Amino acid sequence: MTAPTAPAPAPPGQPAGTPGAGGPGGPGPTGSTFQQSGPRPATRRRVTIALAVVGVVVVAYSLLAVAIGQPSSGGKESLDTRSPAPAGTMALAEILRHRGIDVTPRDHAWDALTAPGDAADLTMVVIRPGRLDRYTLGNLRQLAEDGADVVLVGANANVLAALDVPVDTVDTVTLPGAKTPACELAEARTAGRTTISGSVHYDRPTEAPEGPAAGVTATFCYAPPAGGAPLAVVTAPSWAGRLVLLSGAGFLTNADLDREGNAALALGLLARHSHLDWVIQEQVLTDPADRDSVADLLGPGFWLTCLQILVALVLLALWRGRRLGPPVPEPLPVVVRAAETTEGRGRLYSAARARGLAAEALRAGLRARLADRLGLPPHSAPGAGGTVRAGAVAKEISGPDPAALVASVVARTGRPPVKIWALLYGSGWSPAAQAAPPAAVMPAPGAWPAPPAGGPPAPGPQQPEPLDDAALVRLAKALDKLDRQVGGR
Amino acid sequence: MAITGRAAACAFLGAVAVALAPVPGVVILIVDLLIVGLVLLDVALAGSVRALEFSRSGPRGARLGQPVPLVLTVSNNGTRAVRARIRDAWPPSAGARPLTYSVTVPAGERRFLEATLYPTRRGDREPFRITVRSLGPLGLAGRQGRHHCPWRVRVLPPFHSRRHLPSALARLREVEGQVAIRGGGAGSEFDSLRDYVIGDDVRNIDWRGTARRGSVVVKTFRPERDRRVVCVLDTARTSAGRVGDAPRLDHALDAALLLTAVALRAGDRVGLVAHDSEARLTLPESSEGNLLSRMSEAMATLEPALVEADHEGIVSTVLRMTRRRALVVIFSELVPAVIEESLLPALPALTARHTVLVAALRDPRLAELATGRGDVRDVYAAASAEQTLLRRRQLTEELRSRGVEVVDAAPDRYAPAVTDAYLSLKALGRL
Repeated sequence: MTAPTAPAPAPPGQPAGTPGAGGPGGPGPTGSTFQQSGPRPATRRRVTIALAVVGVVVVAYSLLAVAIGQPSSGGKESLDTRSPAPAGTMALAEILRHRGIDVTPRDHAWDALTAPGDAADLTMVVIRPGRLDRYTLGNLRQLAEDGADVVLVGANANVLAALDVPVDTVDTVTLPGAKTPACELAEARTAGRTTISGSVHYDRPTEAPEGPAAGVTATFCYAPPAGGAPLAVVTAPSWAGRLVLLSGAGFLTNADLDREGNAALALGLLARHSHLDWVIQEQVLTDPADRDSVADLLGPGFWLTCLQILVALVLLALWRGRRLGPPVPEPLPVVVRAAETTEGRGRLYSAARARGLAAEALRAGLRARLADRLGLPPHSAPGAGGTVRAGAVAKEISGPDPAALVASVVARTGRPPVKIWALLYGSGWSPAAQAAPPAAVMPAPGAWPAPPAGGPPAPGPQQPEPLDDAALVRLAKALDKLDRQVGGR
Repeated sequence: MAITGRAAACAFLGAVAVALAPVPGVVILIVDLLIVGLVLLDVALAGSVRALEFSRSGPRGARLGQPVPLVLTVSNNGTRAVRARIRDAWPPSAGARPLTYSVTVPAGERRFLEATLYPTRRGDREPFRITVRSLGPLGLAGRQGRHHCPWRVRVLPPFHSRRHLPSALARLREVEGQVAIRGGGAGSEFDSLRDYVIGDDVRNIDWRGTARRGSVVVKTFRPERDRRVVCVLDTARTSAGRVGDAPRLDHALDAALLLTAVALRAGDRVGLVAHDSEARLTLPESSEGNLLSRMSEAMATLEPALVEADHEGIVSTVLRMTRRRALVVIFSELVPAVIEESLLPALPALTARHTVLVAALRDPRLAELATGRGDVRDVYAAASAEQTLLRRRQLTEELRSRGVEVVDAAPDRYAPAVTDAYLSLKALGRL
């Protein structure tokens, strides 16, 4: 059963996997990236339904098994000579004791076999003889040969084979009710009609016995017109005692002893000797005679059914496996996203922490846009931009004239040229530019904002290059702000 | 031969029978022999697959986006009716619906199976194979076989930019002076004489005509007609890049079609060259009315090739194609590897004789990346995008400095921008 391994369904409304969803970083920008993907609500509902169905089936099966599998003949007290319950046999034991018979209840056949006493004056009743091994059963037969009456209740084919007596079993169920003796056995004829019945019945073997079983004869009583007998008495000329096979001991119980001729039959069978050992075999010996494997229980029909199911599965596979023509091949054109290389380079910058390069690229882009917007020539005269710190990007891309650009931007925004220069060119405060723009665009002195005396965290001339990623993001935002101020997006 | 689910179902029922039977050994034998016998009988009684005959009818071409209704005709020349499942297999990008048919064709009759293709790519689409499973009368099993019935549907470029055609033609009429606007048409080709009105350029006064007529007449001009336009499609590796939801090449095809449509209406002759490492396609200049459809047909099967463009080869192909002055429109991409290393060295031979227009497609994704400020990775990507944009800008400057016109437009403006550039050049008389 898979039910215990499945997680218990969470109460509705609480999302699955909420704890630890943000990872060790906790809530933040990366939280969404690493969010744990738990089962979706639909999946959870399906699992819950499946579990419920499995649970209902299990409970229903248990109830059904309890209702059907209730043993009909009580629990431990059944056939116990000390039990006054309906399924007990105390009444029979008392009657026998009144007749002077010494009734000894035992719970193991070996207790009876090893007890001192004369075999010739012993009646031994064994209930559930299938739990004994072949050796013990052989001893029981020996006991019968030595003069005892051995009564076996519910002995089946395996037990009979171990005893090596010429009796076959018949798998028929007799109807409850009284039966007539229909045999020459004196005790049965005396008792008349009885309600003896059981699950296993006895009949003559189809072949004549040979070997040690030769000469052993059996008398069958209470047999219906067709089918086996619930009572068989096995004797042989060489035996001093006899072996009695009862298909069931129901007629000996307190409940049924007074019906029909049950009591008479019981006394006839059990009161022939002055000692009676009443063995209820509780323990199952290590190699019991009546041991059926699972395969024996299932019978031949099971395996043939499996074979037929296999055949059906093969047909099913053949049906599903035969497709209506093969898949169609198609050569597809190679199509990659055009921006893939640019994005890849961005990831490379990120992996290499190429902040300088990235900052320079952002600045160069803004410079070109600003020059466009302010109507400046996109390329300065050769040498004019020579004071700009030459990064990898700046080498390839010559921008507009720095001094003119800074001057125009300052005129447009009114921000100090030092800051504009630092934003657009990082470090490298060119003396030429320093001299030119403020003179050209200097408004009234009072209009200048206070010079950055280390207060604001914006990158100034002394902090030319972003030292960490946060500074790079700050630079990007500062460039955006400048862009907006000059009339961009 | 093929069995059906019914045979498997029978076998499962047989398993139930075996489980319940008093003598399972006999029952299993009977059940399985019965199933085998019935399956063989069914196969024997099924109509013959080989006796079927297939034929097709329907259009052989359509623009991408239009459904293509096709009819598959099944004729049964056998002696028994055929109850069949038929799969007419097309490549996935043909988008054939339905995938399979269930049809019964009595002996000596025929049935028509209707299919509709919804192609998802341009190019030629051919059916792969027809598979027929003819079931027996019991439906337990049948015969399976295949047929071939060739057909070809050419899926043409979609020509989305056709919606820009009316406005482009309106502008053309304006340029040609066919609408009443002040100043009349521009151009250098003599059109007619008319009376002078105040405001006319005195340089346009035709003195000889004035002398003959006795009143002042001016010459009017119109744009040159019968000029030549050569569309050069770069089908090399850069054309494979996807911009929006189509490769660059498809955008270029679209723009070339619009340009051709307008140029034909303007009375010019249009040629087409598709080239990567070698010439893929050459359509000589023509001004025939069916040029547009011929061009669409020829473009349908063009695919990007993963090779470097050979601009020397392109230039020599164009020079061979036309001896007279022409407008050469190169649909290419502004990346240094293409422009600096290949196009620029070959350019002088082309600009010496022709007007050159480089039409490049700008990827909106770059602008999107350049404005990304979400986290630090976005900023790095933005830096990278800025760098790419700067390089494009630089290459544009470089090309313009050599007298080459450059169009750099986003996909939605690409085709009209190219056509506008052509019309501007025409208005200026630079063709």
